[in-house]
Amino acid sequence: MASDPSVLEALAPVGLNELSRRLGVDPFETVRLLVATGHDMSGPLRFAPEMVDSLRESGGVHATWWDGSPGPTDDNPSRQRVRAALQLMLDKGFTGDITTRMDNVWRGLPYKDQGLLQQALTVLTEEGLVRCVGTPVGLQVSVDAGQIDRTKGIISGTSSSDGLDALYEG
Amino acid sequence: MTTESPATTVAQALGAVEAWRSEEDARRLSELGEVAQEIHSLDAAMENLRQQLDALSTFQTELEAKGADLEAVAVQRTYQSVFEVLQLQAAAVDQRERKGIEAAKARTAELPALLDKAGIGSVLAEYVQFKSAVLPTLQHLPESYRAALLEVHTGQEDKLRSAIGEIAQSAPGLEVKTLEVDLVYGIDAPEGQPELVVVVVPVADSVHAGWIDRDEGLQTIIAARVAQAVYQAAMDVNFVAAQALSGGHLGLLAVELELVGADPKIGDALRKRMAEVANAPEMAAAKVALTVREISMDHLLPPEDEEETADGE
Repeated sequence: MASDPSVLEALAPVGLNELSRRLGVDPFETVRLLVATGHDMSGPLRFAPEMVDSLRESGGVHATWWDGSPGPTDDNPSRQRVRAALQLMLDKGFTGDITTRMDNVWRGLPYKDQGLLQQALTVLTEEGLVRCVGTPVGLQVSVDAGQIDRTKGIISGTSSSDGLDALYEG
Repeated sequence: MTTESPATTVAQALGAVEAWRSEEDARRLSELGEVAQEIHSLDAAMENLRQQLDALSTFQTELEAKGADLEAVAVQRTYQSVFEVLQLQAAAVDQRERKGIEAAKARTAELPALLDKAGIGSVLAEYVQFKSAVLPTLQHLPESYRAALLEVHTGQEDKLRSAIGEIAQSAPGLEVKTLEVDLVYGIDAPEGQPELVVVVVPVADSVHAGWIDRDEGLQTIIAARVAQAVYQAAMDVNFVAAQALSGGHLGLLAVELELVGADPKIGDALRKRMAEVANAPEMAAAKVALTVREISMDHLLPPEDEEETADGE
């Protein structure tokens, strides 16, 4: 009789941490998505594996944007990462009212870079280059439509911002 | 006083007056001395009373100040006591979680035998055989044959999932004593309008910070149910900008949510949803009796640094 653990694991409902690992968001964000999509949470927090795809679609959770490409040449790794992230936002068309989940920007990166980009987007929101909007499925960001040229300047390395400079020094 | 015969000469008369005068003066000086002494005594007594009065006034001022200090000390002692208790409870919850994870792993190891007992051991065997030996070859079959076989396979898979789910649901509860645990939260509303909610969860702060590498257990669930309560309350009042933040405080997980901009009813919505955390099914399964309690925000925040207070004066 088959007793391969991997077969049974694949058939068993998944817990919240595993669901979050497969989705690529932390458990609190997973819970937020479950609440926002009206999932019945009166029973134990165990889920069919298909829930991953369902939440991914409802929550706009993307697979990682980062394909290992080197990014712009920059002797400061933090600045290089921020410039690359902004470039990706523009390449994918996230400007003005076309927004994306904030955590899509850093998904798949090492923890250090995730923290860096979270801080960078916060700084850029305060400085008006990035729009950040709260929604029931999570924070959404886009490059402000009126700040695209300024953002391109940061991406090209010809300009920066006080907030970003302070972040790079930290 | 002798009765003297009247003076018969001027010299006698003058002498008599002089004698009277001397006598009177002596009496007067004696009385003056007595009065001066009396005054001195009274002055000393008054000075003594004045000193007693000053001492009592000082004591009165100190007692009044102590009343205000007593409140501050009580707040600090409450904060310390609450967190000491929660830290002990978090350690107990951690132990309970380990037991739960062990029991779940044991149950998983028994799964093939339990499926057999439920009468679908053969379904599992066929499912595995199909998946390993037949599924990879389906691409070579005509479309209609492929579709028919996949339909059967999916049906078997659903049967197995359902059976595994039922086995998990019917798992016997832990054979342990009920663990009494507190979940505390405070809602800050200085002007009447809720501005911030802080929840202190009786689990280690590493439960959320290190989630990606953790086995899931009771601590994860308690934290998740708190997040559920917070986001459900936000949804109840259409507070779309809600963004829960988490962090550690004295080794415990703290969850906070800024409420500025939310409908004032968010306070009651939070109370309702937080109360529901105690009824989460995992609590009964783990034999945890969770008491959800709203307390003053002052008892959740660390005391102000005395140096800062001095600087601010």
